[in-house]
Amino acid sequence: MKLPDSLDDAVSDVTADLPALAVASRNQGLSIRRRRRALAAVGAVAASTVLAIGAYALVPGLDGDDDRGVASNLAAPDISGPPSGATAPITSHGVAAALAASVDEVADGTFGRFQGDVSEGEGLAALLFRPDTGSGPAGQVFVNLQPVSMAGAAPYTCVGYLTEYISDCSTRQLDDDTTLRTYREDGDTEIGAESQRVVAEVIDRARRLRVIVYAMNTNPWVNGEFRDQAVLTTEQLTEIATQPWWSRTRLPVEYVEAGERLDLYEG
Amino acid sequence: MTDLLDEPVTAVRRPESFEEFVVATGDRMLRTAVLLTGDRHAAEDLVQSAYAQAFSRWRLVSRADNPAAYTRMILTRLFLSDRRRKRVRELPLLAGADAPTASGDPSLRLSLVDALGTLPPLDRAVLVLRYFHDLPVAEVADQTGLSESACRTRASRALARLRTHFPDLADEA
Repeated sequence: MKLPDSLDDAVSDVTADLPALAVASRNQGLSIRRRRRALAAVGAVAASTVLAIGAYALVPGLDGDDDRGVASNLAAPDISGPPSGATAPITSHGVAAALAASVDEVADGTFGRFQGDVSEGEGLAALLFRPDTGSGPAGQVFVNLQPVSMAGAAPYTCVGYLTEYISDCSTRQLDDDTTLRTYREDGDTEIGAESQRVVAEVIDRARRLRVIVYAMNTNPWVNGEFRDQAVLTTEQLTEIATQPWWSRTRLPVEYVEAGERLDLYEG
Repeated sequence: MTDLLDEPVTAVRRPESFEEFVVATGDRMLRTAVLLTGDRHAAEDLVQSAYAQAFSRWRLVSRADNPAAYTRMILTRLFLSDRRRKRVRELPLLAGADAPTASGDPSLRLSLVDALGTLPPLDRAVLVLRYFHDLPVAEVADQTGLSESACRTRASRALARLRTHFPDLADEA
């Protein structure tokens, strides 16, 4: 008696009332959405690269931080030197600090609205970044640390991957276990037709980790304002996404400690 | 309708609507939940909660590489987190030496679902993902939060325990 067959047999007569299940699940899901909006919290899990964090959170100008209503005049967390190699358990604040410090390494500008969340085995963070050059609103920069299984099955190519939504997709094998995939996704239906999102994604089978980093040319709090280009380039995002210390469970202790001094925006 | 559960969903096979997705995947999701919980009503609650979570972020789930696998992961995590909360109240259903076996009195013979219920929830999840869904160990490890070696250890131990009830059980596909 083979176990797979036995398991199949054991539940072969189990069937669901599918229409009723769909209706009940939809209603319960709507309730979850309403609660989430009421809390205006950072979403916990991103299945793909597209997560409009807190898009419903605030109207522009409400907090009066600057002329676009979005605080983006903060410096990155003060971290001296590269990570020592020591790590500490990942925290919401820590992953936000790690993202800010990584952006600060590749571009000059100011920061704001740090957000972070660690739950359900994933870590994510977002922030607003306004480069010193160029004009327009701050752009959102985002990182999501996922289990590698969220990337689907290897090989990780551009063929058939989000084909309805993305462009300029390319992949590069960094080593036997690690794939870099970059692409852009413009015209987000929730953010606006002129929105640009540039994405770098590292899929590391050896470390069972998928790192997604993206940058936009706008942010969810400004209605209809866009920069000419996303606030980070594909190359800059690639440098951030390929940092060897990203993990779903631990981060360099310097970032975790810096995170303790970081005020997260609760929306 | 084609079962979407264990096949990669490409752009052309992406579910058109949440309802279509539930219809295509619901039976197998419920079977998974029955194997995990050992109880039809608990399984229905678990499946509904998993689909509700999926619906609450449907825009993301529907565009995932494999929406059904993503929802199954939600279901597994809900099951495990729920079991962790309830663990302090749990009592073992059967105690080793007293457990009826397949070679004993037929009236005491366990069903496979009942026998799964005697295993710790994590062991159960490992077996169901590994042998019902035929997932590779690495993916089982991802979904359960265990290391690959811990998955193998748990699967081996769980199989040994199941064999106390079903001596002829083989693990190969």
